[in-house]
Amino acid sequence: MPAAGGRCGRETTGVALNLSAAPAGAVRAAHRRVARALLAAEARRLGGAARLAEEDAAGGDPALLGVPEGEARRVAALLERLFGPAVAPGLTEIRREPDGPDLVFRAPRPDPEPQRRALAGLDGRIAALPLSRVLRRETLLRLRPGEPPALAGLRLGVETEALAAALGPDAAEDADLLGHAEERLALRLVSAVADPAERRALLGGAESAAPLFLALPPDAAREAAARPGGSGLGGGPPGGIVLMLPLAAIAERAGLPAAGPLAIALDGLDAETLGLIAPDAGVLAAADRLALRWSPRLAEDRAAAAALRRLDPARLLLLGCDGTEALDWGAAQGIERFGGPWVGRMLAAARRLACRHAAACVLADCAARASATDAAGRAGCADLRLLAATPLPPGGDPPA
Amino acid sequence: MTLAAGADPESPAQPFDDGPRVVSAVLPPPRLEAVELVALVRGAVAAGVARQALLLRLSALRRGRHAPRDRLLREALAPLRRHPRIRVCDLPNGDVVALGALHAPQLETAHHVLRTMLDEAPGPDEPAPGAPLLRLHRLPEEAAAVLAAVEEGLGLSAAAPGAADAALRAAATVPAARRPLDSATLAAAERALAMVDLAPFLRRQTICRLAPDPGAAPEPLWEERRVSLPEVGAALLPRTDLAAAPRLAHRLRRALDRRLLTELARPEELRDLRRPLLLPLALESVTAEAFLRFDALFPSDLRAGGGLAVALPAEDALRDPPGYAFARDFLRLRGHRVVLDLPDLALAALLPPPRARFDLLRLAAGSAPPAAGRAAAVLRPGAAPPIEPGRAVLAGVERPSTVAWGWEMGITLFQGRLIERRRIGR
Repeated sequence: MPAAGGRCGRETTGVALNLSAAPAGAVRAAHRRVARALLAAEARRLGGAARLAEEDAAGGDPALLGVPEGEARRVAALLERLFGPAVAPGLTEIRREPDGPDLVFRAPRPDPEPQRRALAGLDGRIAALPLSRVLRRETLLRLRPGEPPALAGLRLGVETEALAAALGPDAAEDADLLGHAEERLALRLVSAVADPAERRALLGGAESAAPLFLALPPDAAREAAARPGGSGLGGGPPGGIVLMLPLAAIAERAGLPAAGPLAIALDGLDAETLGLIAPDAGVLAAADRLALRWSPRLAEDRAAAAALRRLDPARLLLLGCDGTEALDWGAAQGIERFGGPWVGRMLAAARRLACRHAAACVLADCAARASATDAAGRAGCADLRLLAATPLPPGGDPPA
Repeated sequence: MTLAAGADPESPAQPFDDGPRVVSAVLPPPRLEAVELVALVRGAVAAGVARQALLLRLSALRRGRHAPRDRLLREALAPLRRHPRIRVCDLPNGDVVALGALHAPQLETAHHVLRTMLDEAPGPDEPAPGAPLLRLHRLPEEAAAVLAAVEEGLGLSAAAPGAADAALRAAATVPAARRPLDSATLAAAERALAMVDLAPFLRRQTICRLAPDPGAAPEPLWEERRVSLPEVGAALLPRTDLAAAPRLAHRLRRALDRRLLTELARPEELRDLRRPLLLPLALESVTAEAFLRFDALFPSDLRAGGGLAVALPAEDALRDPPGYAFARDFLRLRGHRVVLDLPDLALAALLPPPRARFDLLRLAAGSAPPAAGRAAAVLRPGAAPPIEPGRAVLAGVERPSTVAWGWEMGITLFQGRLIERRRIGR
């Protein structure tokens, strides 16, 4: 509730950071906190009429009011420098403030006390969560110029968005709690994959000569690597298993697991990550495969692209492809293995060409059912065999 | 395994003595904190020192309305509280533990007096047989039972009281099996952390410039203040394995950061801040409210000279690159230095300065310097060395050969026990 304070006698300027205008999902709670803290520091430094705008309960944007125009421009430039790259460019706005009702500055509210009750029961909620509700299956394609598309593998892993939705906002807002839940669920995934019947249920019968990419957090990957058996996981799938770990695993004290007969892939090399690392560093040679994550920003980073070109393209995968732009960029890098929603839709289209029941469903449903990992998620499909194994022209990926 | 030996001047074992110890007060503390008690018990185990612990479970009596007797029992403990060689700890649930030497007459007398009082007036609220209200435990043999009682007293034992009693009886050997950290234990630990005195766990160490000139004296640049997560974990959750749930342990790290930053933001602490400071923080802690408050209060004269350096783990940066970029840019905007902590030299090439854009790299030196050939391969792949002179700190320096190796690599900033000794030795 904005309280009416003193009135400003003359026209001054204000700076606002329009976080509410940022693209969906780009603004974190930390951005808002830092913006408020920076503006509060400026208000203290400038003194006088300078003050923070009262934020309303709906999450109004942080703003500094009552400053001379020159200062407003300086503060706007400072905000732009920080929030331009981090959130989106052009969010700062300089406002001329007419002589009007003044809003008083109130000290920023401290973080709400962490939801300890929710924390205490978290492990119970994770244990009660059906694995298939948060697990996604993804088909990877090998696309090589002048050759028919071929199956390059299946990727199985916990989808963070689905997990966040299942655990609710209290746990989802804390990356550590989300990561912990992922670790717990991934341990269950390892057990499920080691059991042939459970594995069939998860994959819907989709097993092939192409490898199974298991996306696992480091501890679960170590657990999988430590399991006895020829292919690491008791008589694993015919195409072999690739353990897919997040890149950060390489900086853990415990290091990457000694995978023995299993191959190791590092996942999550997106534009932001490549902006930080040298992908041709010797330490990454410990991974057999590197999974890049597509975003248009990936194509903008010329230095990263140059470093990637120094790597053997056979080691690279491009995931998260959402259109032809991604495939074109990948092809220019020499990448041959692709995954993502666009690949999923392409496969659904291929299935529908072969499906006698195609008239009864739509492409998006077919793609969604193919990514499900239980019977309920595949419900509605009249040809489960076709759903499990998309007919592709011959010429598959050789077994790993 | 590191464990907290605490502030026990008698304990010969100092297994984590990696820096100068901080004496929290000139006078002995008026009462023993639970974490200190745990440290003393573990210290006794580590050093094989025989001690005795008197455990009075007043919480079990409280269930009935026997306040007068409760008061009498407490009065019987009064001589122990006054005795200089006996340490008495009041647990948050009302239980009392008194620790002293083996066969200390004061403990035996108090035990006798309390025993008589309890035998003479057995109330209707007596707990089930076999769960003693009063017991004299012998250390180190029965350390597990005392630790279990402390955990229960801190509210860290999720088990029902009956089960805790059973565990108390069963736990006759040391060490007790450690169970993985779970969310319920973490929630209790976060609550308990608010009551813990951080001083026994605070470590200070100086980052110095040490030039390769003969006879050069270490020139102090920053003072690192660090609260060790494994030590706090060992004291607060002695029977819990933090490493088994790394992400929950990371959240506990953030809670520790919050406590440390809140302490540092107190007026008397800020007033005493004269020297540049280096704080190792979890990545998320940099944009949390506690740091923003501390930053707002940070002395402007220190800020102007880059008097605050924040060290972030490389693992955190790789897990959340956008979060790292934002935290780094924010820190620099506020005039602070950004240090990237690398657990392994091999990672230096993965995070080249032009891309990761930190101010300083901090490398953890093992106790033995790595083979020169390997290090050279790691640090100088191709033409451009990833480590610029003056932009890397070699931490954990214990031997002169490590310093010599660092010089060879162009490193002139060092920290570690050897550096502390050289500083003090002069």
